[in-house]
Amino acid sequence: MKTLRNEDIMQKSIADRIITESILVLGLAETAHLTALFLHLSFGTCSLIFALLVLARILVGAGRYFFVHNRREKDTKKTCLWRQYPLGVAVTGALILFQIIWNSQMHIPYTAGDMTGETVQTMLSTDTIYQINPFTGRAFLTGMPMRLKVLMLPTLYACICRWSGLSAITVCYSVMPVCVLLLSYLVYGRWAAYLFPEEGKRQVLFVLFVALIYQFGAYSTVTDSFLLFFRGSQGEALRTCVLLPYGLLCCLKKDWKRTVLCILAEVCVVWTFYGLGFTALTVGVVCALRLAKKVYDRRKKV
Amino acid sequence: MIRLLESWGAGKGSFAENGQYLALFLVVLLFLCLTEKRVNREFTFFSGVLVLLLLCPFTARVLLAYQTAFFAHETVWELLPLTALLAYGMVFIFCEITAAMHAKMHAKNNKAAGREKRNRVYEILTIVIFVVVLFLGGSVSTAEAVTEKSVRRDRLPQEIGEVLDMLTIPEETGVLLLAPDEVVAWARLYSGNIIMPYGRDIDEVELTAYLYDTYTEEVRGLHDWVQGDLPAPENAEDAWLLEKTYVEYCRDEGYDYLIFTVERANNDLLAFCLEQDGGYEILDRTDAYVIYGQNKESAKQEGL
Repeated sequence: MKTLRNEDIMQKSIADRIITESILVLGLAETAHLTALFLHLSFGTCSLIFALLVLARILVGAGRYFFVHNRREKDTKKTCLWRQYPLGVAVTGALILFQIIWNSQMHIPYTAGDMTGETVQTMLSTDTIYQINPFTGRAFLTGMPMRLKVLMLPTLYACICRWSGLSAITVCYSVMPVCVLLLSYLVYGRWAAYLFPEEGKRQVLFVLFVALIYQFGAYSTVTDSFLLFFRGSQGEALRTCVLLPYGLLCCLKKDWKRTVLCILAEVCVVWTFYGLGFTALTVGVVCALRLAKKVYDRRKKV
Repeated sequence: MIRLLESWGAGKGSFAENGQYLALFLVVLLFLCLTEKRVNREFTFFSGVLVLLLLCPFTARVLLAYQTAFFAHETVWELLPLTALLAYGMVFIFCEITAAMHAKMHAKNNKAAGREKRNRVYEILTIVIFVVVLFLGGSVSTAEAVTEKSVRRDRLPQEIGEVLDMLTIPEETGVLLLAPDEVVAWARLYSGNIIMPYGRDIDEVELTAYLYDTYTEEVRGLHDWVQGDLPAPENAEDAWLLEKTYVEYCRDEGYDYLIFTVERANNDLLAFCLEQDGGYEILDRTDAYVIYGQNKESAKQEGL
């Protein structure tokens, strides 16, 4: 096994920052959600707490940018893929644009096995969190399992609805799936930079192939493509197309901070086995393989 | 044991379904393992181990148990870094093919300018071949099956959106609605102020597992009555009594709107009972549905 370790790979790009900040927003939403859930606060209060947390994060981020980032040395050289490979970038961009338009406008929402949209509507109309049955609009007789109550995506979407004035159906089935799709492309953009450092042409090709796989791969309800195009607002799509590949990438790059972030984010968006989700499993397998390799190499030397 | 194998087989089948991407993944993995070029061995090895874990029914079962065992077997296939490895392998194969072509051109000793142009043409042709392979290996049949053609700007199906637009929904009080399954499926997405006795997919196991609440026999009866699925009584008098009972129940419970499919609304007994009861009047109709609303005058008289 050979690990590519290059200064360029380790360098944090804007894409890395966007992905990390998105994951942090999930964490902030979870904090606000759990606070409201356990203190029996209204959804309005939860939305306010979340807004304050986001504001605090923005202030901290801006402060760090101005006081820390500006003092760092500027990057020595930056390559523009668009100038070097205009055709490849244009074709990939056009394909992604088509997917965004199709995903956000051109088909009815796929709601089988999901109740995110109804839950968001219920939160907005009743100002409560998980107290009303989202399917009927009546108060719960028995309630909802705690393992599902801790999931915060509906709260996040409802907050976005409240702040933006957009309808629940638009946020859940147009805006968020597009955000997840774009995040997914950012993740695979980072994969391209990791797998093909300083090879712009191969990087563009890699992202083009990813776009093509997405385009033609919606043949089963669990493929990445289907999850992105039809179940984009669900935690499963976020897990499979963003958190899992990014967690694996960070693990391969030995960027443990971001790896842990991905594992924690998965717990917030999908029902996992007591917090041990797919990302944790993936990281576990990679670590086990590394350990096995180390033992094998040591024995070989002896 | 047989059940385990069946479940595993169904899960793999469901993941592969009409597409050949799993087969392509295995081919690409084999290529990456055999090639001596500069390949990211750690990622390739990880993918290989994971595919073995998923292909073996016993380890796949362990992985499923790890993922709470609540989900179907196909869910664990999400673990496979299919997109990343497939794209990675395809870039490598592309580079191998084009490098071989370049070498051939170089051997022929063509002019530099023409060689460059031809190289570009070959590269584009190779990409086209890859697009065809991905197109043939994939499929859009599942996507097609779940995509409805007529969709409104607000993403609702045209027909259902039309019906729901006809309801007057006060924000403060909301409305009580009784409707067939197709309308129920979208009603709570349309507005959080619509209250119903039962939600969509009343019999779907996966959805009901999300909530502890279950539906009573009374609610299930109401659902079957709206759908027209209740077993027909033997004589006409019993049939009339049955319709009358449910119409009275709806009036007493204060349902603001009753929506029936045109076929159901054309049932003479139902139409007769609704007319005789006087609690509801036809508000509007579309090609597929008839909408009954509370008869305000009748309600006033009752109040007096």
